[in-house]
Amino acid sequence: MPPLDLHNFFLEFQDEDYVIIKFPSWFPDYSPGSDIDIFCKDAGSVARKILRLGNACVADGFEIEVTIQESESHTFIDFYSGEILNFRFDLYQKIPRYAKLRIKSTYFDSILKNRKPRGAGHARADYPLYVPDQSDDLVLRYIEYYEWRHRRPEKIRHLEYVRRAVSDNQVRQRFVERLNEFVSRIPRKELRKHTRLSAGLRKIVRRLKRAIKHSGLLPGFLIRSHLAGRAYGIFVTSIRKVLG
Amino acid sequence: MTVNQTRYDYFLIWGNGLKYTRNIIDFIRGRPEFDILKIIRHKPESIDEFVKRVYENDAVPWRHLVAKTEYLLESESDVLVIFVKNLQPREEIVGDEDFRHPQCMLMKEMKDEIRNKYNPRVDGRRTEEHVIHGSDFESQTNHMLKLLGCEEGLEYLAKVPNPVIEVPHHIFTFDRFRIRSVKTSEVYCNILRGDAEEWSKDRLPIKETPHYGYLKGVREPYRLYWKKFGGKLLLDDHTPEGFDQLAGDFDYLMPPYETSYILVEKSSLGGYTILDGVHRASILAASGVEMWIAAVVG
Repeated sequence: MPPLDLHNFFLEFQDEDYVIIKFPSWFPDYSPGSDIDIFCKDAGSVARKILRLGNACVADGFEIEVTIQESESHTFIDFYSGEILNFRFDLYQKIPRYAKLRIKSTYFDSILKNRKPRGAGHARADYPLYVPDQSDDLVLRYIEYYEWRHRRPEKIRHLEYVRRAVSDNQVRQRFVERLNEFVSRIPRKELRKHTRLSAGLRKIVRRLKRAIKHSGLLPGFLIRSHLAGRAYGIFVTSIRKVLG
Repeated sequence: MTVNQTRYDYFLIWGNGLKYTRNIIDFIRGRPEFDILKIIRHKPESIDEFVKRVYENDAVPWRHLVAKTEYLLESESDVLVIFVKNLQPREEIVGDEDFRHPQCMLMKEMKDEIRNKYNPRVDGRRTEEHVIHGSDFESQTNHMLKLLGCEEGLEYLAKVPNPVIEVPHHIFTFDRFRIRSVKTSEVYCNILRGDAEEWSKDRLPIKETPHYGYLKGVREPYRLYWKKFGGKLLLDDHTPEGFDQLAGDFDYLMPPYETSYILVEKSSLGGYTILDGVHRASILAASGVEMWIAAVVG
């Protein structure tokens, strides 16, 4: 079964309000199992365009699985060759939800509004592919690193990419501006709701804190402010790491 | 004049107009401004009460309508309601003082045209014994749906079972499906047996359905099938005439219908059962297509 011709799909999206996130270096020559993340104003419309072209692929033996999640804001379109995933279009119609960072919902529209065309490098038709402005690309890569840094060590590549880019002062300034405007750390109290500590462990921590408080070794407010300070410190330190 | 994007309306054929049902549905279907969504046959226990309920949501108070609707009390207690999506509503405020209300001029033109053709005539002149009634504004459609027992009202017509592919609103909502090729021989259809009061479903291969037979020239079983169940258990616009039109124009998954897949469900009995698209699958089978693309749920 021949691989999908990604140019055909993106030629079809020309009139859509979309951007390719973290533009992959392999485009359009993907290896089986690859995916591409797309932010788009109307995921339903993009999905229908993928299916229109996908019908011919189904006739060639592909199967297409469509999964809609999170109140229609996230759609996967998976092309299968037999039972093996060949390629995934990952469509977002809103900023994805992150556990550790709060992103203003208006950021999504702002990314689309500031999008930039780049040549597709296609021999048959020179059409534009849309990507985020450089500063947004860096912010999105930084978010990806920060969100997953403990569980997916390979995400360090995004941090390295950002560090290289911000060595230019203008780029660095714009990156910090966009980060400050749209991204903030989730407050400790809310973050605690998402913590992966088991209920039992949380109970032990609570008892321990109470015991320390009652022992008079440390006042309660100091314990609280120490923990809040640590969480904030991690966020600030990671940005400092980027900025050098 | 207000121009809305779209809205939901209904036409109601009274007992005195039922003999023109086929012509009236064809006339509505022929207008590009309307998509027929549902056809419901209703036999109210009391036509007197039903007429009152229909008009209780009218802009004009009932006392002014008593004389105008008297003829309906003599007609059969049997009506057909056709729910449509009005793609080009033209709303205007009409009437004086207390009777001012919004009205869709397109609906008015449609009603006038049907009444001119099919209202009874005396000495060659049209009487005011209307064969058809229709909504002036959208909340009347909501009222009519509820009157017919559809508690969701307009939400029932507006429901989108899936935001990506075209599926009629009566299908359950689903958020995962697979597009794949299926063989005609592994696909089955649920076909009604009995009558509208006492019925059951048979799971038949496509080539044994009255639909397939109709396309192959054995037309009476499908006509009878529609006559028994149409508007009662079969609510989509699939009159024999509508089926002929569909078969004549049919080009599966071609523009602008590339995502109007036949919807099937994996069956525990083996193969697939069609949830939406028995008519289209029959057309494919009758044209000799042995394998076609379907959207599979479950």
